Amino acid sequence: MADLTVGPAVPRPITPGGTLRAAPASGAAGFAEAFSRALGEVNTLQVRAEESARALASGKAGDTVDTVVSIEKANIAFQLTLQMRNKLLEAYQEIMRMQV
Amino acid sequence: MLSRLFEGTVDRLSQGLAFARERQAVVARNIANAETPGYQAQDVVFDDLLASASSGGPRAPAAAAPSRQIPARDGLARSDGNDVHLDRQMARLAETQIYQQALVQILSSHFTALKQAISGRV
Amino acid sequence: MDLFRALDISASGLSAQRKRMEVIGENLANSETARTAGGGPYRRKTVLLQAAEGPGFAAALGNGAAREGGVQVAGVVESADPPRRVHRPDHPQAGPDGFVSLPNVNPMTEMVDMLATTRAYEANATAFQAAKSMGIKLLELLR
Repeated sequence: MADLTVGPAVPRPITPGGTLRAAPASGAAGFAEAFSRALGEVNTLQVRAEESARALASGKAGDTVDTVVSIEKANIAFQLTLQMRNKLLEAYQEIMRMQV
Repeated sequence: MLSRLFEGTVDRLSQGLAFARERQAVVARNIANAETPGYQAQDVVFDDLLASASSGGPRAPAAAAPSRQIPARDGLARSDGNDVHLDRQMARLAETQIYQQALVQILSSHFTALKQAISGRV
Repeated sequence: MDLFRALDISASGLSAQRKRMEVIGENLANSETARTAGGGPYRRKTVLLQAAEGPGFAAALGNGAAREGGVQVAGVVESADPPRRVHRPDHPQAGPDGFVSLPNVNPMTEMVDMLATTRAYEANATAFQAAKSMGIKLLELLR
């Protein structure tokens, strides 16, 4: 059991900026790209979580640890993209409110 | 991008959980066979090779538990060939249970922290 | 479900020890039975234990650590040891020489076995509880 090294349980800062383009001009395009990629990943995670849960429910010799962790991962990923979408929406609305 | 949130701590912890499950099952088998003539007690060790081989992204299929079975060798066998030492097995049972609980606690607070960071609310 | 494997293993242990206890009880109850239905004195019985294969053994998943099962009772065997010959001329089953064949059951041996069986039963019960707790604890992640 001493072999298992576990990292500290402190939250790592979420840096979606890691995939954003630096140039502000193409900022919108960069973010949209990152966002749609994130949506794809969320979908994959949710599909996987659902498949695991279904296998478990139908009595197949599923992996409960994997199922539980997949479900939580999918939840968190979904929340992240939801927040991203909210921020995007807020930003859009703010821009629309600007008097030209 | 999202998989970066999870790889490292979450994947390692869930491998630990799978390992704990396997170990408890093997200890249970040893205990069930504590009086079976000729039975050799087994133990389970964490297999780093299997562990690193199976850390994939979201597309990775559910991997086998990162563990390997080895003989327990707790002590001398008795006259009927059985080498289960019940007190050692009970200790291992308790160890495994505590280990698993610790991992669940850590993983749970990690998930909570991620959710808090995402929502901006504490 | 994979979580049930450990529960099934411990349950098999509980069953096996229960069976052993029954047989010990039978031995003790019949320690003076000089005549059985089949003729002859009662013969000491013991339980034959064998490690079991798991339910999904043929279609094994994972790397085998707990692919295997718990324990199973392979059978109940009668002792081949000769009966005790005791001189008791007034015993209904005594022969012309005044000796009667009594069961080859030694109550001390049975008591020692009973202690071992009790201890093994309790250990299996503890293992069962541990598996159950671990399963419940894992599911807490979803709360």
